Amino acid sequence: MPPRRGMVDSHVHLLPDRLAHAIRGFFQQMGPLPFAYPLDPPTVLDRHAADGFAAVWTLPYAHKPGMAARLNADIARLAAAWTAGPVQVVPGCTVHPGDPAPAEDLVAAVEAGARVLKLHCSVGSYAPDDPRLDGVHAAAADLGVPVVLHVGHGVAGTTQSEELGAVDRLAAAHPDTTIVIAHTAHPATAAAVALLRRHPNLHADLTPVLLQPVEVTGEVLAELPDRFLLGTDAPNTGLSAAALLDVVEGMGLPDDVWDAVTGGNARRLVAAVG
Amino acid sequence: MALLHRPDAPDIAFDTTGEGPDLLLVHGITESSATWAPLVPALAGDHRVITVDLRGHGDSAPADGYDLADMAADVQAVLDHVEAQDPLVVGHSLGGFVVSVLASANPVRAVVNVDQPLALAAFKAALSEVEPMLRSDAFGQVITMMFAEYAAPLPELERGRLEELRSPSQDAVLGIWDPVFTMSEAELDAMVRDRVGDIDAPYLALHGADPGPDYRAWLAAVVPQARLEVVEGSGHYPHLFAPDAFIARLSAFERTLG
Repeated sequence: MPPRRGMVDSHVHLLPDRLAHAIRGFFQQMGPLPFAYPLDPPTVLDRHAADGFAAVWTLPYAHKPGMAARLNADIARLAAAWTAGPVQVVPGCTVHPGDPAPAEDLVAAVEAGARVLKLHCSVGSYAPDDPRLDGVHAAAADLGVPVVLHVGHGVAGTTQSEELGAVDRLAAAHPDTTIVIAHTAHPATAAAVALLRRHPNLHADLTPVLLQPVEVTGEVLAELPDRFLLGTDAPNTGLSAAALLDVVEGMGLPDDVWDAVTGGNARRLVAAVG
Repeated sequence: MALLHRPDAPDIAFDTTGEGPDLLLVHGITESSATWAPLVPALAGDHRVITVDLRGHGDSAPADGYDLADMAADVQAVLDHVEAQDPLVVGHSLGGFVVSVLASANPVRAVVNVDQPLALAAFKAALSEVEPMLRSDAFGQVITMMFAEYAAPLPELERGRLEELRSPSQDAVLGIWDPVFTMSEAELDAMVRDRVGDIDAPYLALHGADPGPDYRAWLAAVVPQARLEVVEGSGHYPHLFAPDAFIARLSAFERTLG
């Protein structure tokens, strides 16, 4: 059994209280969902510490223009406070293409401490290759900030393979930008893996979608060992981190691939992680 | 359900559903295999699901005694009868105890114990208070009250379903809990360690509430490979509180078993 310690969860949504409740309310409209975590960030982080995580990336996202800058400032402040606990909280930030100067919003967020950018296409209603974000992707490359990109229009967070064409174009247009395809575009994982093979700047995270693990084989992870990251989606997931780790353990990865996927790759992309 | 006949042992009712790797489900005290009904269709999609009624429960016959080792032997007899191969054994409540005892004496693929602490000191303290009532005509009322509290977090329909199928036999319940009433804490602990101390298989304990640091330490000492997880707020029935989540958790655990 591979050791579960010092791991990095590169996809959590520890957020300001009001926004966290609003998002959970949105999920609950879809029907009764058994969430594996309460919304309270210190509780989530205590559980993550017990499960063997040393750090998390917390990823905010903006569903409309006019809110990203303030949200980013809140996240930077909250992440610093939460990091007083057992797990390092790496602040993420977000931008919205409808804002007047999204690239400037990114620069400001990074100056305030953000180390990763989240773009949520379905929540924000925009395409991955929206031209209004060109400057953002260029700035992300200059600043060395990875971009976690949730592709698609599905209310339930799913991605269709034809929606990945925009990621193909984006990755080619911005070869120096590190892009992480959230959820490995579940259930369009085969199409996402094909893109990873084509573009060395593309990565993907193994974040489940509610109760469904991303179905990528151990062979694919061993073929592209430096391109996958572990993510849980805590607290808005029905699958606990322990269950997700069972899924990854079940892939039978060699030790070096396990180490890369459960922390090494995330540490390479965000060097600030201890 | 089919009935397994054996000389000098109670008839045991059992069922098998579906095809695939063997998966045994064992119910809790005062209940029957019917408690698993919300889970069986999904699990039977990729398993042969084996359900049993414990002695003195459901369609199985009552018995003169209710020793845990005998109850585990009843279940193992069913597994042998259906020629189970390397079963994943899942038990809830008393069933969690039974599959733990079974796995200590027989080869299994892995154990999932749903909300049954194996250390019984706290249970003994709680149960001793109601022992006189359990031995009286008030037995049925006490059981109803106990289980109403255990099932409180469940949706109303599910609580009603469990209430409907609960058919407590005073004789069976008093027989099963006899060691808890009669043994000292130390004797009880020694008995439990003796019964479950040889579990080699992977072991997942899923609790509906945190059983506390003392029990975590106890379990780590007695079943060192055990993993203990808490499904917050799901009460005594985490598998019925959120069946889809339970199946997803079980499925993830199974992936580690090779």
